[in-house]
Amino acid sequence: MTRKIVQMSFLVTVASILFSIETLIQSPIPGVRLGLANIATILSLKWWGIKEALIILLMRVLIGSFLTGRFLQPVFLFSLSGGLVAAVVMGLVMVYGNRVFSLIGISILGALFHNLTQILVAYFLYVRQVEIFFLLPLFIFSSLVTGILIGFLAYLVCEKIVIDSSIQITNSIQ
Amino acid sequence: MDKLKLKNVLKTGDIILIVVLCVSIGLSFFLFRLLSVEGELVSVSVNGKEVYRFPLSENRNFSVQGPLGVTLIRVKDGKVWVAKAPCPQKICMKMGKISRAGEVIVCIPNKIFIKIEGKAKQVLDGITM
Repeated sequence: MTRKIVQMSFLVTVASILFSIETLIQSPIPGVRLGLANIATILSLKWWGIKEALIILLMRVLIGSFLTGRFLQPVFLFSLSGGLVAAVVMGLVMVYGNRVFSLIGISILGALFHNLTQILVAYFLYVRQVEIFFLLPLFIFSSLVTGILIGFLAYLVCEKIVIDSSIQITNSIQ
Repeated sequence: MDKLKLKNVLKTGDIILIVVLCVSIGLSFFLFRLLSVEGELVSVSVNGKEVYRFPLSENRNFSVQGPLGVTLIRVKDGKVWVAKAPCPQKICMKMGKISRAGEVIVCIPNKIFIKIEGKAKQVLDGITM
C-alpha cells in the first residue's frame, strides 16, 4: 500500500512538472497545448484504474495551477473540466474497448474529449456565441496530432516500466 | 525481440478513428471554404452582448472594455485583429488577422468575442426566371 502511494505521488510530481513546463513552451497554434501531463492520466489508468487516475489528475491540476499561478483562472477551469472528462472517457474505453483501441487510440479520444469539453465550457461560461464552434476543426486536428504523440509516448513508458499486480516496480530495460 | 514500430502498436479501432477524424477535418475545412462568403461586418461582443458592429471596409481603431481592461481592436484593409490586450497569455493577439465570414477571435480572460459576418447567407447566387 505504501508502495502504491509512493508510486502515485511520483506520477503526481512528474505530471505537475510537465504541466508547468508546458505552459512555458510557445505553441505554434494559439491556445493549443501538447497535453504532456495527459501521459500521467493514461499511465495511472493503465496501472491502476479510474479512481486513482482521478485522484492523480485533481492533485496535478491543483499543484500545476499553484506552480503557474493560475488557480481559479480560465486555464485552471479548462484543465480541470477537460481533464476530468478525458480521464473518464479514456478509463471507460480502456476497460470496454481494450481490444479495439491501443493506447494511441485511447489518447486521441482523450485529447478529443478534452478539447470538446473546453469549447463547451468556454461557450457556457465565457462567450455565448455559437460561432465559437467554428474553431472545432482546428481542435480536432490538434487532438489528432497531440493524441498520437502522447499515446505513443505513454506506450513507450508502459513498455519500459511494468507495474504488476503485486504492485512492484520491475525495470525491464533489457 | 521484434523492433518497435508504430505499425505493430496500432489496432483496428485506432486506424478507423484516425481515418474518420482526418476525413471530418478535411470535409469541414472544405465545407468552410465552400460556404464562407466575403466578410462584410465586424461584430464585437463582451460577455455575450454585442457592443460594436462596423462594416469591414472602413478602417478604424477602437477599444473595448472587458473585465480585465481595455482591448484595442484594429480594422484595416478588410482585416480585423487585436492590437493590444490586457490578458496574460495574449492568445487573442496571436490568433492573427481575420477577414472571411465566420472567422472568429476569442479572448477568454477578457470575455471578448470578435466575429465576421457575411452578406445574407444564400445557397444560390441567384435565380433567373
